[in-house]
Amino acid sequence: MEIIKNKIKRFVSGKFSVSDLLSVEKYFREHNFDDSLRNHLQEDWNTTNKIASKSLGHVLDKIHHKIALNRPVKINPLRNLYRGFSRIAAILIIPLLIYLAWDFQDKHLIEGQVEYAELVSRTGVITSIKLPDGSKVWLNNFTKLRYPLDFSESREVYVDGEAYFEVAHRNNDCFIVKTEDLSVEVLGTKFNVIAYKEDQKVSVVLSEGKVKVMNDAGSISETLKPNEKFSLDKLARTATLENVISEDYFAWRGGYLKFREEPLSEVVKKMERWYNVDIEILSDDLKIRNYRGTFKNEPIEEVLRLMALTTPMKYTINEREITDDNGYEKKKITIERR
Amino acid sequence: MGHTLSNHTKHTDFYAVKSLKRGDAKAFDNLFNKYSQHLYNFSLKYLKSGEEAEEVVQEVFLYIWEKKGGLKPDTSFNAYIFTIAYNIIKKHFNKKAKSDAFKNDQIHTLLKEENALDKAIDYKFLLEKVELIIDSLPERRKEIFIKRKYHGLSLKQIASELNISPNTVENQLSAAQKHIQKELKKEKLAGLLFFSLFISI
Repeated sequence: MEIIKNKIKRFVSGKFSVSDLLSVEKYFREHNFDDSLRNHLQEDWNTTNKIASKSLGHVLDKIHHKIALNRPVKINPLRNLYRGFSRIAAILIIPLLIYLAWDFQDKHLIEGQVEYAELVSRTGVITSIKLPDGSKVWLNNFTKLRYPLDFSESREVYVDGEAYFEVAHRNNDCFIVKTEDLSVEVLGTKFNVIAYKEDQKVSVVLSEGKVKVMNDAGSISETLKPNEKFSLDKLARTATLENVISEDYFAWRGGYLKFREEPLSEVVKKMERWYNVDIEILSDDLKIRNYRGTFKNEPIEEVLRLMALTTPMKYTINEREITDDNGYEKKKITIERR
Repeated sequence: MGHTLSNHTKHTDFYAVKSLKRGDAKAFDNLFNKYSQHLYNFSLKYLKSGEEAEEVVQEVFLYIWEKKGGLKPDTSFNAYIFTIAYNIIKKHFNKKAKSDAFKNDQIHTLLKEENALDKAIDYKFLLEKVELIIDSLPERRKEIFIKRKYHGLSLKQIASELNISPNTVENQLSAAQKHIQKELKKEKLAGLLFFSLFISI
């Protein structure tokens, strides 16, 4: 049976009648229209435009993920037992983690007349808090935030680590985020600051509004627009400004570990903080190799396994060593060229 | 069609497909980057939902990966991907048509009364409208209605599940039905018609 092409064309165009719709549904449903429908769609396929209308990178990530999950794994009975056990262990560990998440150092410090609060997020859990002025802050792993308990005078906070801010607007009152090397001045906006003391780079990524980034010496002063990333190389003393997809930099708030064409040397740094492990890359050429991927709630073994699928690398997870005081050292992982 | 272009396309796919056949993940990514957008745009035309179009992209490429061993580098990859896409889109389309069937009936009833079955109409708007109306039904009535029309339960099943008489179920259903038609009629149909040059078949 032949389909009526105009009906399908109207359906595709979006301007169609109920009769059109019923016919198109019939064409798709009934087998005797199949050849005719298929021919028409084949023509349409060839004339369909290839213009990018939507970013599909996350779909590729999902596929990578699924491919890895579906790979048959040889499991011996002992390992099976272990897997069952590790699942139970995970259930027990979750409440423990929640408890540990509250294990901030919540100190009150007094400097001069101003009283400060200091939060340190330590474990692999993302922490969010509301500041006295209604602004919200999310702290990534191992991040320290210091802020005055009284916000009426000035809104100035200090960050060592990575934090995402949603600053509440207050008249013409500035909100200032200080890191060791920079200060970010804002009115009301959303942005991410990455400023771990031990890292060579400090970055600020803006998602909404407008911020001004300055260094202490006053030699740098940049105003950022949304989806711009400002980075400062502390050693080279150079600053760069680039366009980015700002959401990629906030994904950690939702528990996503996300890499966007980042060199492996940066990737492992994030993983070290995320999983509280030490990772060493033994082959220099791997360090500069870019990697892209998104993970949510995956154990580190799974992340490494997925990475090794698309990167010419192999990895070794070393047994934890017991320290002199009977504690366990951090897990040590080495990555080298395959 | 430009012959040089299509020859060129074939040529580059040949090597990518050959590598993919061996399990090369990089080749897979390259083919994804080359075809995913085209596939997305195509699926969107028929499924009219970005989310579903993304699902099609995912299913098609997962299928390609799973069956990579059987790939034939000499034949057109473009044609191969269309064939897979066609089958998957068809599956999605039929599933959606089935789950929309009830809403379609409502719209059909309305337009038949208005003699507008052959008029091009803002269908998407009407579908959303029906959904909104169903959503605004009183809680109990909505529950019964959804069990019957979406989950396909029988009057008896619903009655025993909710511990009420089948009669009550029936009354609730017909009240819901009346309410939907009454609310739908409030929409000014004229405003939903497209001024279009190709109204009749």
